[in-house]
Amino acid sequence: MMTVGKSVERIRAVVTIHKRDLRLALFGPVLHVVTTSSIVIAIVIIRNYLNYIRSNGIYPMPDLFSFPFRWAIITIGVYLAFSTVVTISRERESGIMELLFYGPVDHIAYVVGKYMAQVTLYLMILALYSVCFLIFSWMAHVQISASFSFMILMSVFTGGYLIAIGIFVSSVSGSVRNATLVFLAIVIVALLLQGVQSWLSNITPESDYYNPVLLLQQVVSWTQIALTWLSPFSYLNHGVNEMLRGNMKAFVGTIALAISFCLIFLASSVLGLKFRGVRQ
Amino acid sequence: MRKIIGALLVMGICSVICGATVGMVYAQGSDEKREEFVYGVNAFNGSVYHGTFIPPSVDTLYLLADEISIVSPRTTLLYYWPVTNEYKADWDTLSENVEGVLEITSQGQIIASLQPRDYVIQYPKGITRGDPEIFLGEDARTKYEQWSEELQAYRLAVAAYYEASRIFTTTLDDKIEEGDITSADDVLVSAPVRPAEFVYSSTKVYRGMPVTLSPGNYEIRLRNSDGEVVENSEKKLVVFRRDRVGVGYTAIPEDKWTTPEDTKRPDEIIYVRSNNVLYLEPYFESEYNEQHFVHLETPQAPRFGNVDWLWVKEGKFIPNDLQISHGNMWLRSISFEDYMVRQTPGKALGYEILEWQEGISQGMRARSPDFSAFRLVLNRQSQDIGLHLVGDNDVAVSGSSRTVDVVRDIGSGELWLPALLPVAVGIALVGTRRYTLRTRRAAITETSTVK
Repeated sequence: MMTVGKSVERIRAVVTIHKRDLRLALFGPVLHVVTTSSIVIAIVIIRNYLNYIRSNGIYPMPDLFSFPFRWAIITIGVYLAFSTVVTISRERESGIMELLFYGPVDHIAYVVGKYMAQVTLYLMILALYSVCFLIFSWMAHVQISASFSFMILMSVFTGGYLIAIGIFVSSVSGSVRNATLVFLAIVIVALLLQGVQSWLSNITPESDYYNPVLLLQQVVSWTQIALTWLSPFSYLNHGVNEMLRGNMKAFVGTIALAISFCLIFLASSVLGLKFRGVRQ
Repeated sequence: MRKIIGALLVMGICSVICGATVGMVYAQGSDEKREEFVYGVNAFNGSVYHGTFIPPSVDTLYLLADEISIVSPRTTLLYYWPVTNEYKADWDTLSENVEGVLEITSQGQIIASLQPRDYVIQYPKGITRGDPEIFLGEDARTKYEQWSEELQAYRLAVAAYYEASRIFTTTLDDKIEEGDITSADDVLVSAPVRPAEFVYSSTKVYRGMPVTLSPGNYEIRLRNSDGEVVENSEKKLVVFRRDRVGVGYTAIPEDKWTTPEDTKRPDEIIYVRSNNVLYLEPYFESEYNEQHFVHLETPQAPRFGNVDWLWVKEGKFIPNDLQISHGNMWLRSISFEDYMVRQTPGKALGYEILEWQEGISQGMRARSPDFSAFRLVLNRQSQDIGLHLVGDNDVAVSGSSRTVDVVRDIGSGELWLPALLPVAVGIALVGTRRYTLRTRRAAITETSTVK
C-alpha cells in the first residue's frame, strides 16, 4: 500500500515537472527561434539540391529530404539536450532543486520529469517539421518516400538518447559552466570528428618516425570507432543508412541499442544525482 | 576524487600514445630504403586482379571469398613515401621470392598449408572487357607460351600489314594510270586489311600461393624450410564476400553528356528536371563492406570508424527492354539502342546525340557506337514513374528498379515559405502567453485597486 502510494506520488511529481518545463519552453521565444533556424538550415540544403537538379538536370539519391531533415533534427536535438543541461544545472545552482527535494520530488521523479518534458517537446517539433517537409514536398513535387517515415521513427529514439546524455551530464556536473562546457565538448567532438579525420588524412606527414600527424590520425580513428558505439548522431546515420539498404534487422537493432543506452544514461543520471547531491 | 579522475585520465592518454607509437612507427627516416619481408598480393576484386603488397606496418590482409587470389611472400626494398603517407616497394632493385609454406589457421587450427606454384593471369577479351582467367602450375606455363605465340603472330601480321600498305600506296598511282582503279570501291577492295586489335592480355609466369577460402577471419604465416615462422609474416586474414548484387545505371543527361551521374543504390530515386532527356546505361554492380573492399585494393589505407557499404561497378551488359511503370501499372517499354555523339560544327561549342543508324545516314564515319543506352524522355507526366529491367522470363531483374521524380522548378523565395510555419507557431504561443499574463496582471491590479 505504501509502495503504491509512493508511486502515485512520484507520478504526480513527474507530471508536474513535465508540465512546468513544457510550459516554460513552449511559451519562451528561444525554442521557436531555434526551430525556425533549423528549418532554415534544411531549406538551404534543399535549395542547393534543387539548384543542382535545375542546372545539371539530374540528381540520383535515396531520398532528397533525408539529409536536410537529419540536420534539422540534429540541431533541435542538440538544443533540447543543451537546454536540459542548463536548466538542471541552474536549478541546482540557484537552490530550486534542493527546494523541490524537500517536497514530494525524489531523484527518479526529477530525472524522468525533466526527460519526459524534453522528449514531448522533441515530438511536437518533429510533428511540426513533418508538416514543413510535407509542404516542401507539395511545392517542389518531390515525393515523400516510405523511408522518410522510418527516418522520423528512428529520430524519435536517437533524439531521446541525446536528451538522456544531456540530463546525465548536468546531473553529475557541479556548475552551469562546467555542465555547458562538457556537453558542448561532447557534441562538438561527436560532430566534428569525421571532418577532423578526413582533414588529418589530407595532411602529409614528413616522415613516419614518431610523427604527431600519424599519431593524431590513429587516435582520431580509434575515438571515432568508440563514438560509433556511443554517439546518437552515428546511431541516426547508421540506422537510416541500413534502412535505406533494406536491412530492417539492423534498423531495429539500432533502435534497440538507442533505447538501451538511453535507459543506461537515465539510470546513471539518477545515480549521478544521488552521488552528486542536490545542493550546490 | 578529482585527483583520482585526473590520474586515470593521464594514464589513459599515456597508454593511448604509447600504443599508437608502438603500433605505428616503423622506419628511422623518410628517405631510407630497407630490406623487408612483404606479401605480394594479386587479389581478385570481382572484375580484375588487383596487384598490391602488404608491408610489415599492415597487420590485416583482405581477400574475396570463393575466388582464387595469389599471395606471394617476397623480400623487397621498402621506403616511406610521405606524399601519400604509405610505404612503397622498389621491386626493380630487389624482388626475391621467399621459399616456405604458407600456413592458414582458423581458431588456432591449421586449415591449409600452401606450397608456392607458378601462376599466370590472363584477360582473353582484354583487361576492361572480359573476365580474367587464372592458370596454375603447368597450365600457367602452357597458357603463357600460347599467349606469347599469339602475340608474335600478331606482330608478324602487323608487320605484314604495314609492308602491304606500303606496297599498296606506292603502286596505287600506277594502277590508276593503268585503268585498274575506276572508283573509290576499287581502292577499298584492293587495300590491305589491318589485323584486328590484339586485346588478349597476360602477365608473366610468377610464383605464389593460390588462396581460395570461404568467408571468415583467419591468420596466415610463412614457415621456412627450417620449420621456423618467418619474421613479419604473421598477419590476420579477412575473407569476405559481396553483400548484395544489383544493377547500376550511368545516367547521361542529353544536354550534359560530359557530366553523367551514377545511380548505384537499388530503389534509389532519380530526381530530374522537367522536359529532360536521359540516357541510361546499365551495368552489373556488387555491394561490399567499404572497410573490407577499400583495404583489399589499398591495404595501407587508414581504417575508418564507420561501417559503411560500397557499391562497386563491375561489367557492362546488353540487357533486354526497360519497363516503365506507374504504381502497379505497366506503361511502356524502351529498347536498348546504340548512340553516337557528334560535335556541333562551327564555332559554337556543343554536341548532339544521334542514334547510331541515324549518325551513319547523316554522314558520320562508321565506327563503333559511343555508348549504348535506354533513351528516356521526361516531362511533367513522367512524375513518379518506376523503371525496371526485364529479364529473359519477363520478370524484373532484382536490384534494377529506380523511381524517377520530376522536380518542379520553384523560385528560391517560394522555398522559404514553410519557414513561416514555426515562426507563426512561435508568435502564436508567445503572444498568447504574453496576452494572458497581461490580462491576469491587469485583473490582479484591478482587484487590488478595488480593495
